[in-house]
Amino acid sequence: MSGNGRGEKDNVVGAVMVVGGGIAGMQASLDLAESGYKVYLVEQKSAIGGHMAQLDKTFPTNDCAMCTISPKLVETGRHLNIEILTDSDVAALKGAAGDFTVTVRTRPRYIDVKKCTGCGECAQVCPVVIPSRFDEGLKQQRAAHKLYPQAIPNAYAIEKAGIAPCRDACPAHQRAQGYIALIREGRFDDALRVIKEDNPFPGICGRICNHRCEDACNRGKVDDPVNIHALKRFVTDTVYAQPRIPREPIPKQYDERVAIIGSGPCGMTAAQDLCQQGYPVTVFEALPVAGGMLRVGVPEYRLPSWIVDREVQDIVDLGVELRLNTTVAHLDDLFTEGFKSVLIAVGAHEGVRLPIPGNNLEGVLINTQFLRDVRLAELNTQYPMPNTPQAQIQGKRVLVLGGGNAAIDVARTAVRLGAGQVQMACLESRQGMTSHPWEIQAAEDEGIVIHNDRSFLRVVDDGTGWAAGVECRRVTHFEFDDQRRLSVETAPGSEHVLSADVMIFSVGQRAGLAFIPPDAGVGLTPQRTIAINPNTYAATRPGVFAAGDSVSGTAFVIEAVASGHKCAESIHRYLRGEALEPKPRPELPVVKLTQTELADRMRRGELKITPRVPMPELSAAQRVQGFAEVATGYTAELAQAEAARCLACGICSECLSCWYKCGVGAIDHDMVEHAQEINVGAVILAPGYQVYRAELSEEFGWGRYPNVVTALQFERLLSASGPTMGHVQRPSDGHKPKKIAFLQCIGSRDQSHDYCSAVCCMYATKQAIMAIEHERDTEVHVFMMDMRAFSKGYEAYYRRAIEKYGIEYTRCRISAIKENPANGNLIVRYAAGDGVRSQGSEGRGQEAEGNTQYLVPNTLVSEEFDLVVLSVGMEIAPEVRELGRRLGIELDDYGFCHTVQFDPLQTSKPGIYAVGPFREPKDIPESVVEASGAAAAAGALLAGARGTLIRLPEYPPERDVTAEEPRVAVFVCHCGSNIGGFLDVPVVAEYARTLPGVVHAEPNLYTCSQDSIAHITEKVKELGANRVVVASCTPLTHEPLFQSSIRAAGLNPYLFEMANIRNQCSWVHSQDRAAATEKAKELVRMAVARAARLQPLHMTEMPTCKMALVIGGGAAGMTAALTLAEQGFPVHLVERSGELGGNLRRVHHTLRDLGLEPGIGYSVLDIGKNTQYPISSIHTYLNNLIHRVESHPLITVHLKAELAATSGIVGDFKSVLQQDLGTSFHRFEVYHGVTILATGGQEYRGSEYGYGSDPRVVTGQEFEALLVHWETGKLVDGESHDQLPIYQPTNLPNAITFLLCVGPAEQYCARICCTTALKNALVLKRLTPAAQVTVIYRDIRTYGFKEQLYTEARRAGVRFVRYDFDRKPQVTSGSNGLEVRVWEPILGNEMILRPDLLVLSTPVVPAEGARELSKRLKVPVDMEGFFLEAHVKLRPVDFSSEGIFMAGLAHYPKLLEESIVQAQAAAARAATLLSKDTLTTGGRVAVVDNTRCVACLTCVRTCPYDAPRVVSSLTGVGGIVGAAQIEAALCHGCGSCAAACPARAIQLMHYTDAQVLAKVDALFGQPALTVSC
Amino acid sequence: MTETNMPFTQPTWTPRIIAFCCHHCAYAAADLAGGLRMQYPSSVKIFELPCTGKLDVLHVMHAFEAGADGVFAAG
Repeated sequence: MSGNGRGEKDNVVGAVMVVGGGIAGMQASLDLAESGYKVYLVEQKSAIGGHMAQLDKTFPTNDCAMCTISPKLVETGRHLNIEILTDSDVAALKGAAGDFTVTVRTRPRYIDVKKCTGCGECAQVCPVVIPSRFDEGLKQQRAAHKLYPQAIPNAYAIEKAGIAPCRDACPAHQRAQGYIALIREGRFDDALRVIKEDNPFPGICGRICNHRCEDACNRGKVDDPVNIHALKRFVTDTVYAQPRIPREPIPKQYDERVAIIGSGPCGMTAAQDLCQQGYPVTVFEALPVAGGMLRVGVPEYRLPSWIVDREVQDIVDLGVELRLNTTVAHLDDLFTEGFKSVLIAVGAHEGVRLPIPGNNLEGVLINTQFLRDVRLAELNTQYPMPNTPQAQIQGKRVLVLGGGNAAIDVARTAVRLGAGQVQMACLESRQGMTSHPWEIQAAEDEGIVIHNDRSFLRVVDDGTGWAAGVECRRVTHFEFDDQRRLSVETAPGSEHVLSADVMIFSVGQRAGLAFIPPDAGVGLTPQRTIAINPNTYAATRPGVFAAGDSVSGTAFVIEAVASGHKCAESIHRYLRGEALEPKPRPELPVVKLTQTELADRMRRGELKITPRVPMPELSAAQRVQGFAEVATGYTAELAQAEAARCLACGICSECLSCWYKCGVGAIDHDMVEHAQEINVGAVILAPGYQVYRAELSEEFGWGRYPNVVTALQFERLLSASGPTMGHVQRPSDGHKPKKIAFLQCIGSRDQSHDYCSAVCCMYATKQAIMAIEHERDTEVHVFMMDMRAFSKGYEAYYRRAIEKYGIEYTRCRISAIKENPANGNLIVRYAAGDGVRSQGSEGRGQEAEGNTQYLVPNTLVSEEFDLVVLSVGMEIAPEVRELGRRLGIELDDYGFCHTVQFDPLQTSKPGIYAVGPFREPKDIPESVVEASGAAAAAGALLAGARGTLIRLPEYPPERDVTAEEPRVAVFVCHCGSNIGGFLDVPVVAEYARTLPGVVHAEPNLYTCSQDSIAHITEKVKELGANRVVVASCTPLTHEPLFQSSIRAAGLNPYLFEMANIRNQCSWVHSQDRAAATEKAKELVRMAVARAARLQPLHMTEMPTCKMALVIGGGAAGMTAALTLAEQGFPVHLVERSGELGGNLRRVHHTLRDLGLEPGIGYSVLDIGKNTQYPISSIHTYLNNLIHRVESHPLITVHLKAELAATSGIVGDFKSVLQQDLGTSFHRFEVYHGVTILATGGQEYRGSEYGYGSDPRVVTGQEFEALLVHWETGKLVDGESHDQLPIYQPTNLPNAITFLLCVGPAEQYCARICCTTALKNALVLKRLTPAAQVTVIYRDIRTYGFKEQLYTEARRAGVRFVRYDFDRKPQVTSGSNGLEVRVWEPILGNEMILRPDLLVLSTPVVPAEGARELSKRLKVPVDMEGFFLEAHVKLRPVDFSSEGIFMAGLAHYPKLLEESIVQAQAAAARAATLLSKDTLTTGGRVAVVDNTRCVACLTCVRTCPYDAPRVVSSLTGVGGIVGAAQIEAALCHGCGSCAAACPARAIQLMHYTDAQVLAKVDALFGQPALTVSC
Repeated sequence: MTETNMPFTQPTWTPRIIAFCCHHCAYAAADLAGGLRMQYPSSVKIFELPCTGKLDVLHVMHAFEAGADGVFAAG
């Protein structure tokens, strides 16, 4: 161990950072927090839980994964000394072991975790749909989401990828994606609300915007951009079809008046914004109508005037004063009138006449005037004009001079006014025209002829003062210089006349600025626009701002809107005396989807080519009839279809639906990423794994074939809370699959993964079993290489899968699958028959001599399956590798973390530990063991600072309420609309007031919000209430919160009761409001009835004996003892034999000695060279370990000693040890708070296969000793290898056969035999490369990195022959030697081997005396005699009896590193008890009324925790001696004893008969006929 | 309760059911059913127990006496 013992280093920090919130991270956090350390748990996602939370069941017990993990989640979430940092990553680390400074970067989740109550209303209103990652893409979720229903923290998060390109491209940052999503959802009013967040003129922009959003749309990279402007128009058409509801005026907050000159889009946008901020705003408009160019510049057929009027009116309603027909004569007048600030937004209403001869002739018109006259003609009473435009145009030949969008407007208007012929002429070529192509097209469709490349020389006079045409020249080239001066080259001799009756100049327009004389103090540019600061729009005169066309020249309406917003902001800043330039805010990146990302989406089926829904339009013939709108608009159906094409690039679109809905103000879209530095003493890395990305193995068609799923997807399909509610359905058609194939080793044991993922064989078996449990007639076929059922109970599970469930296992690696397009089934080709091995599984060893490739004689079969599950392996995610690099710790080629030999959790950097699959692929229990182990290592390192940074709750003294009548306060929660939306909360509260004992009842919007929690405390104090009922959600998550709020009011926390009217009422009866309300009343009635009978319960503190007893002096026992001693706890270490070391004395080579570097493979091993290699490392380690144990001042070693008796309870054990002094026994007592059993195991030695009768048959352990002898010439103590004298180091055997799975290993897999046999085979090959080594095996179970040993063995020429138990090898021994006959299943023939030596791999069995010890300690053992843990997944080193733990081979066979880790884990679990000065007992425990007890022992037999016993010091019923007593410290409060007691002498506190029955009676509204108890 | 007419022979009759649920599993499952918005008759009332081991015959009988038409134990 690299850690420093206590006292060596006192300036350590008593806090630990745990990185990764999966099951391992949670376990490490809990162990550390329980042992007195502050924990920071850093999780990358928005909730903890990791992969385990996604699983349906866990093997081998088939427990529901969520049921087992959920209590841990809650415990972690509510622990006072665990601070969970979600959405966070470790960015940097500095310092050294004991004192690190870690920089943690937290990404914004846009919801304040502290405020969020988890009610989920944000998700209900969120319109953005994304694939659920938790459901592996099989289900959709909203951008506002909770990772999964039971997530901790119980808070929502909003996912944002960045700014959608449509929004980015829009000058006004219109959140188009937001309203598009709302249109898809059919929420058109909300969509309009979203548009208006950024743009007060949606109806206008929906028609005439140049929609740059569409140019930027990512969808355009796939097919066509989304028709965003058509959607916008659809929204306004739909909503505006309803009668307009006038908007409420905004109350004024400020006195400073603002004048705005011009009622165009810029001026009106600014007017709206300023009005909404509370300023009095006046808009001056020279014309009789508001809207500026929109109203008088854009023709009716493009923009009906009622839309402009309506949208202007919506702004005027807010309280804007609009002065029409009002010309501002001089800027100063406004300031004189009292305006404090002026915005000039007069637009560009003055047309430009080209300075050519004849430009003033009769019949020569100007664009702006012409269009304005057309629009105002209808108002001619207010706006008299001598000649209506119609009169001027009708029947005439019209020539429009200019080629911009305005020119086209003019030309198309002329068509509609009945011009005889309309032509256009312009300087630009066809391609160079500044008008939009679709405008040009529309013009030509309407019969307009366009003459390009013309330079105008003069207007031709007809002799009467009327224009008759324009003389032009052909342009060959033109350009503008830096000063925007034009130079034109024309073709000589190209003069010609375009004849016309009416000519309309449309070559530009500018602002009329006559009201700004030179003395006004407002500077102008050479182009006659107002000079401004482009960032603030401030003109040179303070208080004057200018924007819109009068500044920029003609632009599009959306730019006017954008500048209007900015002007309003500047004016506000100016008036508030702030700096005009705002500070820059960090912005999210713009989401530009790459072709790869889009292709991925297509592959996953999330995206299909769908052309844009075209905008319906009038035909050209229809439209030239008048000014009817050309574009007729989408129907709702078309709009929703088009909206569905949106790719939701930004994910969250900031539509603000959530912000409006959230009742507690938890939504904050302005959150930004932030970093913090955290001081910790140690870091535990538990970042977990990612599953292999199945799309990389294209041959299996994942993504292309919908019915090929990954194992993780299949878990979700099995899960009751998954996308199909636990009904297994195939994705293509929802049918129940009848035939399912599992393909093993996808992303494991292949060319790019020389490791076994260790869990897939078992999870596939589990999934297969569960699939059959769901549908009995499902056929399941598993295609695998070896079955790796190597841990406790796994082999039995595998056999049950075959025998009970009929699951078929075929040894065959499938190379590819195909889809049957007719039915979506999948075709799997394989070689039928058992024992088939394909190229794939053996391919890597081809070059090696002796590794025969057996050709498959069996027939190839093609079989169709309804569903194929890919058993994907474990990999390290790129971001985890990046983390490793940032922290400077060594990773291997696959990204797995390197750790120190014999200190398996220690990374290359002291003080940083690695656990779980980050070290090597592994399953849940092993990860949990490692997590505890790392907690122990960190605890040892930081022992000097234990308890320095933790927090304890502080409460006022408790009020004694025992003498008071019940006074119940009831709080009924709306939970936003979660409860209030489905039942009548005020009615329930009203009803509660009528119930007996109730002194107060009130409804709350969110009872669990911070202010409500404080309110409950205050209310309880104010009312003098002594019982509290909260009717809201579930006590599982919320009871402790409310209990603490009443405890803060001085009430005992047990005087609290909850009525679950959400999860078990409003949500499950959401279709029937009356019934739900009625049930809620009943639930409240039940709660009140029980509450009235609740009694305060108190805990008692019992001092802890801070000493440990460790039984067993092997590697596990010594490690456990040392780990505890280093944390400062004294240890008694008891060893039966006369020396420490145990089985470790019989291990001579580690895998690393062989050159095997985990995760890298053989870096130094070179079989051919017969180099000497060390056997020293393990011996050195053992000697060091013994030395450290023997010399540690806190460890007392008792050799030749055994446990004779033990008594007491956790925290207070007393044991009697008996020591063999040779001539006598010495008995003595030790006191200890915890016990660790590390009694080890031993190699099985039976008479199988001639063992014991033929000296040439040896066990694995014997063989290992022989190897040492051959290698070093030394004899290993205690081994009888001298019986093989013929094989001296100079004369080694030629042929050696290993036979695996001997003796009891036929019943259970002893886990380490394959690895050990291959290790020894390789040692032998090294000594004598020519030796013929054959391994006869059932499955090679080299899990994890041990796979590399298998690879290496094949490379070294070791031969492998498979057998089955139903055809076991026959061993005969005679004078000629040994003969092994084995049936070779591939050849279909018997093989005969004649080895010099047969090595039997016999399993580890429990040590002698383990069963006896288990009885003495009253702890259980399994069928094989190994100690049985409290829970195979989550309490792997605990016994169910409190305070007793296990480690090492006594638990199950394991490798040295695994024993070391488990011993550390046992020490960590023990430390959670030893680190506390007292253990708290009592509360909800069972209590015996001894006067009713007959000492019948029923309780003693019923209790699973050994809590009750009969003691003679108590007197039972009728004065008999002896009555039951229940040890509070051991009682788990399950109440089984109380239910079982025939004399009803036992009551479970908090669930007494009186309390339970009162609640039952209250439900049915009447007391029962009989009164019991 | 009158037992003269067997109520379950009538089609409109809804039985009143009390479900005794283990805190750790069945009660949590009932919460999840709510989270998934599954629907069941409102005449089912869930009664939380620390463990189904605590379910006492007395309590079951008492529930019947008080008016339950069915008792469901889940854990």
